[in-house]
Amino acid sequence: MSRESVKVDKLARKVEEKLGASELINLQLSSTGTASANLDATGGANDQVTWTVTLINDFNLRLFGMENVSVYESSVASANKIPSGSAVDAADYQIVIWTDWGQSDNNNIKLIVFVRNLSAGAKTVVLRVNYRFLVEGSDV
Amino acid sequence: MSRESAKVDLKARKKTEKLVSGDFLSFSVIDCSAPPSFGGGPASGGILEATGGRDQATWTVTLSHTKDARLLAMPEITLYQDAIATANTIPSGANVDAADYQMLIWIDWGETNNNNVKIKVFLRNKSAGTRTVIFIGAVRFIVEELGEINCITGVDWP
Repeated sequence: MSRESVKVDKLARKVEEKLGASELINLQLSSTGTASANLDATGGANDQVTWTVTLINDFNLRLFGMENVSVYESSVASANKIPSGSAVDAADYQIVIWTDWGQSDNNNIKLIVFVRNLSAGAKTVVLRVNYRFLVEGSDV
Repeated sequence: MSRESAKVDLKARKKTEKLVSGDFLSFSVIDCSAPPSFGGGPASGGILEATGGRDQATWTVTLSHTKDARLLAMPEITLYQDAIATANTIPSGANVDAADYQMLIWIDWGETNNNNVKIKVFLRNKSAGTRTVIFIGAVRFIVEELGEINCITGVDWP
């Protein structure tokens, strides 16, 4: 393990011990468009869905995070990954993923995942997300 | 230096003075590939504007450190059509036709010196008409100094 990694690990541990980070961090999901509550979206041609992933903590401490995001067609499998999977036609989709400036309060992190169906038929898409993050402590 | 860059530099210095000591951080936004018909890059008022039919723009956001300290950064960027409002967010806003745009945001391998952070924003106008877009954002970052991670903060621009 590199020196940097050790230091980051110590930092993360210190923050967690002090703040009980696992209890404070809250990951929320919301969606607009054709998505249903379980984050699966079924839509026809030119339908689109926008998911908003929000990472916050109860004390509004500043966060630094990196997201792991995949969007799949029909079900979670490497071959179904949009747009690069072997079972997926990349021409069927417009996909944009970004961390949003406009909706953040500078403490939370707002990730936006936008998917548009460009095919002639109906598609079901599935979003999977998790975060690696650091929380600002009193001495950071 | 554009007005946008100047403003960003001032904010960066202010944060740095408070959290690190010294004048270490440099931050700039350049519009490196917009053809003239796209609106000419930085405009007055602290907003980058680009207009044109089937034109494209690439913005480069550079976060660097004068002592080459290593940086870890995450960009927060939003592109708007015409004006800053949630409904105008590209490509997802209610007032925006997503088919009008091709958009990519990435942290670039090819242009970084492994200490600075180079963020690329590419936008292509695929509509038949003219579009005005506004590019705005912030960067949250961590600076390594003498082996210690000693600040976590953000820089807003413009």
